[in-house]
Amino acid sequence: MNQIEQTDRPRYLQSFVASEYLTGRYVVTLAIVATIYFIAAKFGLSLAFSTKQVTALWPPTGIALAAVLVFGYRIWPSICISAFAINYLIGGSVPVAAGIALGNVLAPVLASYLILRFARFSLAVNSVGDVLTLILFGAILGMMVSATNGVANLVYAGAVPGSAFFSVWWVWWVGDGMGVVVFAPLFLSWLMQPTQKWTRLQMAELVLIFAGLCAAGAIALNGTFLHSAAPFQLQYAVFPFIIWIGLRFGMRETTLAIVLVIGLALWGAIHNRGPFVSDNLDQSLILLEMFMAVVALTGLIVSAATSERAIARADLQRAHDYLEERVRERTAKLAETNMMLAQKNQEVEAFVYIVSHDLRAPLVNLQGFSRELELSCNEMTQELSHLCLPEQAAQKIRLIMDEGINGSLRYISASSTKFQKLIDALLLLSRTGKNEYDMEPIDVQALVDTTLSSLQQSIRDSGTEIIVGTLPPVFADQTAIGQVFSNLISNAMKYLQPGRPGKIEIGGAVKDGMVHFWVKDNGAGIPASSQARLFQVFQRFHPKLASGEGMGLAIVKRIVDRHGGEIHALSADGVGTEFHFSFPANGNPKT
Amino acid sequence: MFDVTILLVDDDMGHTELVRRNLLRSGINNPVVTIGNGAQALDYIFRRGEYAGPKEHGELLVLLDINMPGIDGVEVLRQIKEHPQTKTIPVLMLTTTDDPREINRCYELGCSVYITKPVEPAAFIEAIKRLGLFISIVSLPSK
Repeated sequence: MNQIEQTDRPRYLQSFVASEYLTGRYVVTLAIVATIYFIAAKFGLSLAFSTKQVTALWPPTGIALAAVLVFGYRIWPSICISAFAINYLIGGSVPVAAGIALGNVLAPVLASYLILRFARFSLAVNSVGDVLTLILFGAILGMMVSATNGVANLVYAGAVPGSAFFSVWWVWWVGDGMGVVVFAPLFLSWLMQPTQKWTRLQMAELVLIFAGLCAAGAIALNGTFLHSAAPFQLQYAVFPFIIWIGLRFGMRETTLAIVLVIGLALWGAIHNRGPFVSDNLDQSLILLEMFMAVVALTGLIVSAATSERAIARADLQRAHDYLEERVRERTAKLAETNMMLAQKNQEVEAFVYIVSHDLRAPLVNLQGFSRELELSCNEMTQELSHLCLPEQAAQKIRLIMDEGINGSLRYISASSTKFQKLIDALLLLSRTGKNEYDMEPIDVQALVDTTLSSLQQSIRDSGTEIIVGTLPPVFADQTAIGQVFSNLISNAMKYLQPGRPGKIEIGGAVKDGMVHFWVKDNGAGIPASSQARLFQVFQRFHPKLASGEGMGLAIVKRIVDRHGGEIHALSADGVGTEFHFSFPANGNPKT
Repeated sequence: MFDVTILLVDDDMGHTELVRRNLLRSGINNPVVTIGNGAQALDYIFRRGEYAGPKEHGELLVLLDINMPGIDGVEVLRQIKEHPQTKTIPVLMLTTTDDPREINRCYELGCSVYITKPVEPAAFIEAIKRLGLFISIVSLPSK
């Protein structure tokens, strides 16, 4: 039994499997199973047609197989005692009863061994594979043992003539097999499947469909309400109900419906009513067995296939839920990271602001006093020229003043000017990230016209051709967007390819809820190796063409980002550059 | 520029020295009082604490730095403009901040001119002279 997980069993079954031999629990379970087996056997006998030992359906085999599968081989004494008792009570001698009982024990034990050894079997019988395993190993192979053993005993005892061996064997085998097909799934599903919670509506449906099945079964199989003496062929009327239950409910309900239908069919046949009545007993039996087999197979296969799908769907749902949960977790993490990054970014900007601001104070002194020094030097040079110094000394002092002091001062002054420009640029960038936006609808056409008119002089001087297309309005901060266009257009102006007439094209379009703009030039372009650093601070690609601090595009990028927009550049070195940027049409500023 | 005392408030001695030299060089010979923090500047303006006493200091022109430890320039400006006796004193903000919000705040509080350091001497002197002229004109009737 080690192929089956202990946890597959309900708790009370687990405790039995774990209990010692001859403990109270073991003995009580043996007694219960033996009693059920005995009652089932008595019931089976009442379904007999002719020979007392041969019936169309022998329920105890199904119970025995289910018991061995669920409780393990150690349940064998129950089967043995009850089988012996029932065979002895119907008039068998002690050796015959014992012999038949032995076969009745061996058959389910062997079937159980085959099932657990050669098949992947679930005790809950919830797949088509489980149903077919039960039929092949349990009903067909396993019951050959009990049939062969049982008939051999009868022949040995002289109850059956040797010539009738095969005909009796066949009926015995089919009866035992039908017992397995009908009752093993019934007991297994009711013992091993978790209880389904049906809704009120489903309960009502179940009651109605069972009522329908009872009515159809009673009429079609037992002839209730039918007063015709002639056999009627209405047995197919039960199939819609069986299939309905198989599709809409579980294995438990289906096996119950199968037992109900088969019980009605047998009841009718025994009482000479229904479609299976004929003068020829063998023929009646064949018809009845075929009908029971078809009903049982139909119900079991439909129900098993349905539960396979339900299990697959549940697995899929679990996988889906798991993935969804992971996505939720990741998204939350990402949002958290984003928030942390935004906070860090703000901290850095605040830091840059404070540092560059504090750096200005000493810089003022540096610039101011180097200017003072320059003035003092000039005054001193003038004073010296009024003094009557020996020519050689005057020459030497002039050299010190001009090349020594003034030369050094020029370097200091140039450096401090550069220093100041860098600090100003840093301050401007940090303010670009800090100042509050005043979002409003902006006439971009007018905005660009203003920008162009401020650049009019250099446009005329450089002979640059400017083409302005239609520019859709955008919902944004006027000053910030003005800065974007101004930076991009003046960049295009600054970095035109020397010796080629400049051409700058500005355009825009609305698409997918975004307002797109572009600024294209035929200028110097950006080397491919540098494009990754395009929007970073202090990046300069053509320092010879124009002066600057390398902040323009960093500021543009910051503004576009803060508007919830996107910017990218397409560029070929020496051919030109296109800047494409877009904003959400309805305005969606980020902080 | 008669009788006008220039009060220079800045915690950076280098800055005050540069301003003083620029004033001298452009021929402004008014007395210059240099004070290194906001609290003392207020004491001087309102003639209290160590500056208490009957001694008049005539008309004032204040050159005020914003970033100072303790009471900063904006607070000094606010108190000057709050008091009826001192609110006519022209105040020239002279700072390293070119943050538009800071500039706006100073103008809202009533500063006369806002100049960002480092200053071009020419522009600075021009502002002082115009303010000085302005003082001598508006203060005539009260004399």
